[in-house]
Amino acid sequence: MAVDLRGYANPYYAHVASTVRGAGDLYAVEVCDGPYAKRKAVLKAEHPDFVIARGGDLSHNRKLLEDPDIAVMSRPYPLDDTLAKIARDNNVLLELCFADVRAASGYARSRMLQSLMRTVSVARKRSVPLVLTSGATDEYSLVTPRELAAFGTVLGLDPCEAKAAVTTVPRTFFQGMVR
Amino acid sequence: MKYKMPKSMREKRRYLEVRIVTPSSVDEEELRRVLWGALLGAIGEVGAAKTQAWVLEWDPAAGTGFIRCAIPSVDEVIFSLKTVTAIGGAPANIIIEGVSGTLKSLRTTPPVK
Repeated sequence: MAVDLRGYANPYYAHVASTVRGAGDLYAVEVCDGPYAKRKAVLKAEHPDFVIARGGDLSHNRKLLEDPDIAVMSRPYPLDDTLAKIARDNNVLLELCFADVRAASGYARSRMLQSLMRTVSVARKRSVPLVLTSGATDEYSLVTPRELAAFGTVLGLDPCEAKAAVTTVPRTFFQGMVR
Repeated sequence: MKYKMPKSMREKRRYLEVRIVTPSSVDEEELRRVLWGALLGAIGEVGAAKTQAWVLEWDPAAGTGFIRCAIPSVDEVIFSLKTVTAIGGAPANIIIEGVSGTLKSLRTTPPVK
């Protein structure tokens, strides 16, 4: 029973969360770089089920990981050992989105994969929960759970860990959100 | 006579059932070109050689078919196929409907939708 934390409703997934209101079972808002007050204003206006934060540099990532509103961190690189410990202690999921990799090509894709592999390596060392998402918006960007697991394996996860990053980890998060 | 490796010495393979979502029709030759282009782009020449990937069957009307590859390279082949965003200038998405050790089980397993 797979769960996609950033996608659109399709038969391959039991539950889907989306950044578009009404496109999935849960509604998420992605906050980018900006001051704390601006982030708070966005959350107050949108009333999302959970918040995804986009990573930036090390100090920015630290601020986001220490923010109690942030549940998921997308593009979580650069990630060092200290940030990984903070993420684990605050129960922040690190999101590895396939849509970002698919959108890039050549050198940009290689560098992105390099960053993601390093993130996976640090996260595995510190037992930070990782979640694989499709980032799909239509059938032309649809990614099935098996394909996401393959993506995780390419990034350096064990097949079991990759499968858990598509099923167990997001499902536990999803159930916590629904309750 | 063609030399045939004994069955016990042959490497095991995996079979992928693929479906292409695209507005235009794709023939087998084009799929083969797309497959090898994606493999060479994503994992390079040495990696592509190790995959032993090959298009076994292709139905252009339905847009479905089967691809064979070596067991250790299954995930790399799937990842490579997913990096394809366009075929012949039209937007496309290659969806892996199933992975199995035999073609028979792939054919008999009901699709997700």
